[in-house]
Amino acid sequence: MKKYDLVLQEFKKYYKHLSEEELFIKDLNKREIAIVPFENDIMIRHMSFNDLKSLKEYIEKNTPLHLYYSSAYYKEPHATDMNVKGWEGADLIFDVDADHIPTNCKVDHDKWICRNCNFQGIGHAPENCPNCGEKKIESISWICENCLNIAKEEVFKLIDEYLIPDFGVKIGEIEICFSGHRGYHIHVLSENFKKLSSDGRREIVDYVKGIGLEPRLHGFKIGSNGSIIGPDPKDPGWKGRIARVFYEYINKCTLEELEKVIGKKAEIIIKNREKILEDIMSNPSSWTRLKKVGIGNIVKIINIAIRDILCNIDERVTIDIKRLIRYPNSLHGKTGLKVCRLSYNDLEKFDPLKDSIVFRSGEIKIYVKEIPKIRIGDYEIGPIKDKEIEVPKSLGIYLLCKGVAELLS
Amino acid sequence: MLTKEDLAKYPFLKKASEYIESLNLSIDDFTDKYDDIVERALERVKFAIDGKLIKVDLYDPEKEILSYAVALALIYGLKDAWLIRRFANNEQKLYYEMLITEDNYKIIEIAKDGFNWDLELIEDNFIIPVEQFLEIAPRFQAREWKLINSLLDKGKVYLKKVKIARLISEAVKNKIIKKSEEEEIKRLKLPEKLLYKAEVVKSKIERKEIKEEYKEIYTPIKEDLPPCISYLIKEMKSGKAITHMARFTVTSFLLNIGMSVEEVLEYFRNVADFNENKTRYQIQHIAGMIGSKIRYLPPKCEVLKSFGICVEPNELCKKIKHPLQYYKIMRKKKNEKI
Ligand code: SF4
Ligand SMILES: [Zn+2]
Ligand SMILES: [Zn+2]
Repeated sequence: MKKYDLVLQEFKKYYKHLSEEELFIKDLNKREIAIVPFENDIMIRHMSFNDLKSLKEYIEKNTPLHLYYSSAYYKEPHATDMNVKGWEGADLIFDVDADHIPTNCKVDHDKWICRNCNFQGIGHAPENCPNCGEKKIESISWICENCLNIAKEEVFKLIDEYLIPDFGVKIGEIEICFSGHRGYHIHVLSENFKKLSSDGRREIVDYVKGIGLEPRLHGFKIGSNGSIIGPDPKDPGWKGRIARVFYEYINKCTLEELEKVIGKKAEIIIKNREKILEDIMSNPSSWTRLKKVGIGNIVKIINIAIRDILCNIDERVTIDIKRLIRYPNSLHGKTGLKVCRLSYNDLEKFDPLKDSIVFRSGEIKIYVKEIPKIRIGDYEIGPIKDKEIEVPKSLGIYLLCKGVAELLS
Repeated sequence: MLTKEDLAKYPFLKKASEYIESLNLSIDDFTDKYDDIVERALERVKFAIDGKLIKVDLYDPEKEILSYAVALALIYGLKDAWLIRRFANNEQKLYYEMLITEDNYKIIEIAKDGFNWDLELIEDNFIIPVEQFLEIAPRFQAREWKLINSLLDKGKVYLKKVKIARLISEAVKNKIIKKSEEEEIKRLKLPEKLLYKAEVVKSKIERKEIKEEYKEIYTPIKEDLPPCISYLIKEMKSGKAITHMARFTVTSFLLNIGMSVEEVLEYFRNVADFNENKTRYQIQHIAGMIGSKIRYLPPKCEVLKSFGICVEPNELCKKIKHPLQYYKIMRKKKNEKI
């Protein structure tokens, strides 16, 4: 494992200089700690540490390629038997990752291959192989500024549109971590959600992903005179959200677009657009003008209109109440970037491709097999293939970690 | 304030169990004494199995509170999962009926004492913290119970009275069933005399029940199942882990002959790597309640053969192409005989 020699050395230095405060997590002594060491790819699990000092000592001695902690709190975190371990609760976690968001730029930087039949493609990896149908897709993905920006927007959406207004989460209870790769983890540390079962968490996932939404259950009724009664944009929760997305959609759509959704009736809406919008926004909100359009069609429009306000999160992370998750301020072993811990207020100005760099000085010489155009810090290279180059250490380590380059000299 | 009459109506409350504890009685004390309480307890059991709602006797609250505790002991002591479920179901109905006519402030007190829920009243809506709502709501399949279809504002879910009544009563049911899984309850041994009395009540009712309520709770008769399915069920009962395909086959089969998700779940309880939430999720998926929203059919015999799931096919198997077909033919035969 020659290519790792330099990486190991640099990781070791990093952990040596890391302060104990930076390793702080809530209730460390109740968490399971796990590492993947440099020597092999085998995860060492079920460790626990009573204080930051002993954890720091351990990782200084055993430099981790990856470092994790459990989202769960356990009575005896080092136990391997789940019954003895004693689950006491878990943080509520959301994972926003470019891997799960179909961005346009993926065709420029991502590839995938089916391990079953070797079928290949570029861009966002499909779940099933289009050739053989198997789920054995392996994707070769790259950090990309645009993807990370979109991921950041998703984080804001989740927090601003759902967690704070609907779930009543306070800003101080939210901790955001840049994953060190292609996304963010949002930790809700509130005591309220700690005991939630996996089923309960699934309901929260469905809530922010719009799964199972029945617009009819949010205040649509037929009045005694046959008129339509509907939700008010000022209403809280999904009720108001439905009214607002409907408004937005009608405000912007063209006749052709709307016809695709509800057919001929689209004309009624477009002709009376101004008045309809005015009515919905008036106090109290009125939907009467949509009588001829019908609730069925309104529902159809809503189901299309909500697409943009749904959160693109990886539901598996949220519903798993025993998840191992990257340790804040540890290094991601596949990039060498720091898992930066951020408060809500830090997020806007956070530039993951700059602020997560730890190896700032020096240059190294590497041989690169093949890479697309990439940027780390202020340095941009690529696409290149089959070339020896000298690069800043941060970029070099990134490519070494990714396994697409070899160290020279 | 919760009065003694309230405790008689809602004997699942903590205050009621505190009262019972203060009396310092054990189940053995009921062998020769307190015959009236035992009688009442047996009546409760009988009503529950019959699916009838008992009328609470408010003139003698102590008796009501105690007989409830004894009834629970009898139910647990009989060690019959079906019976426990049945009893719990009936209790749910009973409290639901009473709660929907209860005073609002009383409902708030009941939720607090019974489940430590913090309800408040805003106009004609109850509000409940979302995490407390989610303790129970995911158990309901109806779409109106999904969080996304509820009104959620600043961490509180808004519910009408009927829904709060449903939520509380379901929490009672859940508690009764959960409790039966505790080690202490599993070890519970009834005194001979009481056990005998309880068995008598149980035996009388069961015979009648099969005819009447076959739809609602129903265990398929073993002889009606195709060999492949009975074999898999036997394997699961004995605690063996079975393959993914086998799981899928059993689950989709049982769902398609009319069993509910919870009932199918029971079959998996003994399986070596059993994980309740995960299994429930998988079953719901196959039932088409979540995910693709498709209700899956079990695979055809041909497919099952290629997976090695078809074992010991019999004469009837030769005439069919699908395990469900086997079941239908068997059911039909039986009906013709009757
Ligand atoms: S033939 Fe079909 S029904 Fe009979 S055992 Fe085989 S798989 Fe089952
Ligand atoms: Zn393939
Ligand atoms: Zn991109």
